[in-house]
Amino acid sequence: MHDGADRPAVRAALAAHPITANYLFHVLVSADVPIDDPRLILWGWFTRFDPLADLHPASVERAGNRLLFGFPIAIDATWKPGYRLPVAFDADLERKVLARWDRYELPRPGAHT
Amino acid sequence: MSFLDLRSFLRHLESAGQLARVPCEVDPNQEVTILQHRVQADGGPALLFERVKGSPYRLVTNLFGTPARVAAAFGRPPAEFSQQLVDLAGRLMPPTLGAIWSARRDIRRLLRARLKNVKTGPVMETAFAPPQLDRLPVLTCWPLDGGPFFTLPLVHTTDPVSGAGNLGIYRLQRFDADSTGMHWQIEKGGGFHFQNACRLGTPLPVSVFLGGPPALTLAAITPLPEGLDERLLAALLLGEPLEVIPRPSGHRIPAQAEFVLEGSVSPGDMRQEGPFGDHLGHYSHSAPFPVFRVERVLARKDAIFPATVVGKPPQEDYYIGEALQELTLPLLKFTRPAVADLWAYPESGFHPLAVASVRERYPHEALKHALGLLGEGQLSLTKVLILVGPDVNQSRPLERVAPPRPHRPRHPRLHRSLSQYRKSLDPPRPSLSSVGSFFLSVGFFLRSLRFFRFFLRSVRSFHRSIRFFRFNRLRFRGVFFSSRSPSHRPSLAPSSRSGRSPRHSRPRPSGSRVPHRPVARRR
Repeated sequence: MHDGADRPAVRAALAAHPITANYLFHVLVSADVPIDDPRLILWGWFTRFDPLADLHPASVERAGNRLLFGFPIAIDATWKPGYRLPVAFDADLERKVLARWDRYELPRPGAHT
Repeated sequence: MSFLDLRSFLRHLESAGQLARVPCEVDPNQEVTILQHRVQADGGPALLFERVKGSPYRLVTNLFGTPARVAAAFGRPPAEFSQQLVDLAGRLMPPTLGAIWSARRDIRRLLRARLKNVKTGPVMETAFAPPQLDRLPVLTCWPLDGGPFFTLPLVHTTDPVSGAGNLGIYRLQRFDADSTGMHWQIEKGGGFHFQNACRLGTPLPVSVFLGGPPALTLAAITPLPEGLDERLLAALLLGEPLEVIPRPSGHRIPAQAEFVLEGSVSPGDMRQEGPFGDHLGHYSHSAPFPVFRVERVLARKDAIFPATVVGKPPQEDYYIGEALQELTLPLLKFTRPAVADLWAYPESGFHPLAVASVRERYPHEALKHALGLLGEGQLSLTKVLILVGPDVNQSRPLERVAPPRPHRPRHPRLHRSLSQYRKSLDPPRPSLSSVGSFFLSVGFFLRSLRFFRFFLRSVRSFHRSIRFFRFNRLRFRGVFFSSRSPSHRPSLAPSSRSGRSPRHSRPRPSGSRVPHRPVARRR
């Protein structure tokens, strides 16, 4: 999801669509999470949601003293204001380091595969 | 093969082509981070920086950046080590004379797992008081870090009540030439010792080791039960008694360490520490933590300063954590035979996601074990615990999944826990208080490929910017959605190219590229 996206509307649309409604979980992640990367999708999902606040089930029933969640359950795993920023290199410094890579006498990045 | 100090380990790595020397001057302020990140992403060697700006000492990083180097540091495959202990326990039940005789070699090795006092050692070659911490090549890893941080400090304390020793790794932010922060988290032995010291109203002596046998570093990270001294595990891994030098503080320091910082932490002496780009790939907030007042630094004459970089996985801690799980799993299965497997995903930073494979011999037995696991040590910091049957290959690597069994329930059971204390590094943590967790038991689900293709066509027609990824690896019936506006460029988009064809590598948000590992995806 990009910043400013209407998350409740997206959740509602997914829950209502005849196809997506059949999926048990709908997970919303931020745009900086590469969802075609099986490692980083786990990172972007599981480091960014609070089970107490970010689970949105289709229904909630009470049975005795238990809460029963109805599927599909939307998990809002987007980055939210107040969350910690993800780490990232200083872009200028990174460019300088790559530009002078030869002086380190190390194999070029991508050489060890 | 065991390595009694860092140098012997480096010699071994160099002879195996696993150590690269960087002769030019490097800046410990972020430049080393970028270098290690690139090299580590390629599965490259450990890095020995011969010249570090502002320091007379050499710096070594990426020591444990591949599974092979971690296994070498252990001396043997980690799972094999702990399985031997479990087998020994089985052979000694009952402890007959015959059983003891047949296990004599293993018992002899166990008996060597102790500390051996020596009068002096290489770490005593130089001493600095005042400590001059600003001469050490401490890294500033990320742009928004609060300052330079010691990232591989082995922090030793003793319980002021019981005298039991503890060794753990807690980051230390260097504040000035003679003080650092002391970032001991919940469930950490050092924190418990300090709690006792606060109750007694006395300062707690602290000794911080840097370097020494690589087994000592790995032992410090291993989640041993509270009260067990990790130095004994290091000795067990070494197969030799660990040589230690008694000090006036009452501590015994490793004779083969590269550096030792000696000082104390006092009740009420607090200072704002952080932020720090941590292993969850996010910056931890700044918060008050105790201050470590350093009185002296002991060092070898040509000491080598070890460090690591953490951040978005996978980093060096990815492989250390994998090895530690391999080490502890046989012991867990020994105490909980119904647990077939347990895996905390390094991709998520370990704590946020774990999967337990449990044999359910009667209804709700799996739930019982889940509750027990969530009460164990650092497993109590788990955010999401997923329970699966014993025939699900849920881990290592992600692609291997067992075929579904038709009699399994089609809908998972979701159990929400009460709110519980969460590691303060977890990004959603609103304060140093509680965040929830949940665990989920799943059955097996089949995906309809035709269904999914139709779904893509129909939904894309109403929201062109939505990208979809169907996550099938854990047999979830769930779909991931990432909505991206057409003009949006993520702040972490790749900023450079390796020159290789995109077919052979894929970009990482930090800008580096990782070798492409084909992931089987059903289309």
